[in-house]
Amino acid sequence: MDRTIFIADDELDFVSTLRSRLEFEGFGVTTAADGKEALQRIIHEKPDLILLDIMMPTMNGYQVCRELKGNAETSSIPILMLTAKSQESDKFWGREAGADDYVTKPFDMEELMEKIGGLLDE
Amino acid sequence: MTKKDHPKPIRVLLVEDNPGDARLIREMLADVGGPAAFQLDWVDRLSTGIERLTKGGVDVVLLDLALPDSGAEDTFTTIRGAARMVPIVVLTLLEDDEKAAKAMQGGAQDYLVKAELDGNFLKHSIRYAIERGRSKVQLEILNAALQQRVQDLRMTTVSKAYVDNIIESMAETLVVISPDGVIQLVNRAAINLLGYERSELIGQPGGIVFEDGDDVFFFFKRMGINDMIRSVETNVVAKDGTRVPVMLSGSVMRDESGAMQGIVAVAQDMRQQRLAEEQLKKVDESLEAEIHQRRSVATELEVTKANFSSIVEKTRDGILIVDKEGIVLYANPAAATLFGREEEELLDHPFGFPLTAGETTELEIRRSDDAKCVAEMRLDDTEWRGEDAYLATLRDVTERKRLLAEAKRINEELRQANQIKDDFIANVSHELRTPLATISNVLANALAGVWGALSDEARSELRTGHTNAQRLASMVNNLLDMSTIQAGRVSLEKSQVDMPALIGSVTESVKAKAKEKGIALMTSHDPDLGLVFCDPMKIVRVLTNLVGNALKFTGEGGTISIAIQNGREDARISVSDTGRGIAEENQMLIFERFQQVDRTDAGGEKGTGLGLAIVKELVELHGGTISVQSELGKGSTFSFTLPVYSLEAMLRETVHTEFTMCGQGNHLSLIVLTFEQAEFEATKEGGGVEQWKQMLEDIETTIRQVVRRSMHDAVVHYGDGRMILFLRDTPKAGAASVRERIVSALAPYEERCPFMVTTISCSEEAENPDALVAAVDNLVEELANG
Repeated sequence: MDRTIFIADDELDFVSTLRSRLEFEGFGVTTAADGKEALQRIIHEKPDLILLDIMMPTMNGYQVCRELKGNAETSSIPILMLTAKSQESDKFWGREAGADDYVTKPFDMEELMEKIGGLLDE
Repeated sequence: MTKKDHPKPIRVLLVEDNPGDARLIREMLADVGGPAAFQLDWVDRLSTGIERLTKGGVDVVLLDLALPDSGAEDTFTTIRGAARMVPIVVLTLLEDDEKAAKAMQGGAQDYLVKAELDGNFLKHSIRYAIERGRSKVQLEILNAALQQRVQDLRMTTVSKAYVDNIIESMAETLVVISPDGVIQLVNRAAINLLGYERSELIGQPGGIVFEDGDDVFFFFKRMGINDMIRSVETNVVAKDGTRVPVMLSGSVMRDESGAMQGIVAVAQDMRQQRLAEEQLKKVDESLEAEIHQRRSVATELEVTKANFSSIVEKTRDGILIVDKEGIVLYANPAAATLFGREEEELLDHPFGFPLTAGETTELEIRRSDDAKCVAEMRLDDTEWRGEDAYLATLRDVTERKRLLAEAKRINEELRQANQIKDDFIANVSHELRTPLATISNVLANALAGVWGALSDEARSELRTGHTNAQRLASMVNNLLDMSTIQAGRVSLEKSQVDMPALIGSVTESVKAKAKEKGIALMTSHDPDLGLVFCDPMKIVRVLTNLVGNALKFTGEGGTISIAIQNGREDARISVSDTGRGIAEENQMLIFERFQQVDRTDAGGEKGTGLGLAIVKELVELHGGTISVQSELGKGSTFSFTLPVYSLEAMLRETVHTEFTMCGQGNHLSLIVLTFEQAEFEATKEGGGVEQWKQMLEDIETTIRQVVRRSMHDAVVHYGDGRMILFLRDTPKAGAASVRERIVSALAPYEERCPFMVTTISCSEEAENPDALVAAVDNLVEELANG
């Protein structure tokens, strides 16, 4: 069975470029553009990995991350935070919320693929 | 005395300490004389007796020699001394004959033996004593008169010798000349003054002594009607011919009939006086000189005072003297100008501002012309015409204040403008990121063949597009980073970094590009290099930039070498290339913002000109320095330093950072692993540096896993046989349970290198970061000693 990656981000064009590449690489991809929706669907779908943007409507990435890591059913799913900021505090809060890794936009697509591969292998 | 007509009682003072004897005597006297014959006054102390005697009114004393306040020897003499004229009858005991005899010799009128006392005998003795006393007094008066006569007589008989003696002893020269002009008498002072023997003068004409010569009666001419001259300045002639200045006085001496007996001349040697006068003159002169000098000083003072007044009058600072009641006593013109009033309008008027000496205050003054001004007033205590007063110095600071406010306003505007600019850059850069990422991703996807195979031409074009998108991304990153750094919002997240491994990851990421350009990459480091305390992400950034630049400016066949040298105080990391080098005049500029020294030969790649500026900022944030050595055509070496930290310094800094991250009032717990020092050293020595390093890393990894499971983040530092784990926002109880888990997880290592695990929590055991560090230090010391 194909491994699925869940993308939570409200920048639809950006999400679309990620979806193209990930599907090309053979992953199943589902997306959400809203924090709350993302949280509910992740709990329901239990993807193999989550790409989580920070700035989202209704619920931000940190909150989603904390909820997921605090939930026994989802706490083992690796979370890769996507951030457009590079402030130290963002990294700190991401780590605090329990994210496994993060990349800063714009990132090198090849680097992202490597990180995804690494997290899925663990 | 008429005793018969008016028999006056005889006043008897009885000095007797025995009351029985006293009563006996009183009764005896009453028996023999009747109540009016004797008036007895009895005292039992010598001192009281003397008091009574000095008051007077005592005709006779009956004195017992042995008294409580006086022995028999002194009693009589003491009482005798107190009243010489009062007759004393001494009362003695039978065996005291000798003492009685002494009293009699000393002047007692009689003595009675107490045992033989009898009223009549006593009465007679008293009467007798009084009579004897009376005749004795008369005798003494007679005697005194006789003595006086003898004295007077003696005075009369010695008078000539006495007068001669007076004349001889006089300090003044005395010469007596007879009416015929012959010297009759000279005294010793005259002989001393003139240098003659007495015999050489007596009988000689007065002219040999007196300057006015042969006419010996020159005196008379001068004396005029009063037969007298007084204080005439003249000279006398001494034997050796010297003329001695004298002050001469003379008078005619006449006998009882009025005939002239002679002339008495008294001369005072004026030489001493002259000398004194000369000295006085000299003193006068020096006084004069001094007065002159004082006058000139006074004049100078006058001048200085005038100058001073002129300064006070002309100074641009307002000067006021205000008395303690706040009334203006003096105002200089500047003060008047400041208040916009005439000086007279200020004088004697209340000053109107609060006064506290020693303070500088700002006054807002409304002038008479309604204009406002601000003055800075300094108030000091002073004295004015002998009274305490205030000295107020006022300076018009209106213009200064206005300029200052203006400068502040401009500064604020500039600050705001700068803030807007920074925010703008930050926001724009931020907003650029997502679209840029989208573009970059599309190109990357195309190149990855997401939409099918590409022609060589399409691949080449797309690669160009992708490379430029990446470059744009890095520029945006640089801009954002720089604005973050400039805003002071960057904090370092330091940890113990294995520098060779970190450099390895950097070279790994550029390996492909170097190979492409035919450039060799070399790394080296000192063998004993330890871990470096720094923010690994930031140092990667620094190294990536430096290595990236080296790649840009180094041609095919060149070499890039990265070396780490271990220093006592810092580690030095250098990136050297064999590229084209940087001209000396540009070497200082390259670290400035937006400086691009040389873009040619960089493969057409252009940057923001921020790369090295960011590098410099990051190195300096670490407390290090960066420098460049370069020679055109030969290559460049960029070196930067990172300070070496002691474990204490590391601990201190980490505690402070973690504490800040935690926020106040939150908990920060430390778990300290202390390895048994001897075993630790043995493991280190026995297994080699690599092996113990590996062991510590394994321990760290194990700890991180334990902590991760508990959802807490951890920062681990180690060195010198200690490993310290920071747990954010973890109270003591939480830290204790983490510790339990760590202890059991680390059991496999316990055998190789025994250790102890302890926890310290802030804010339970330590109030602040410093206290926390101190607590850790204490703990470690205790463990080391125990």
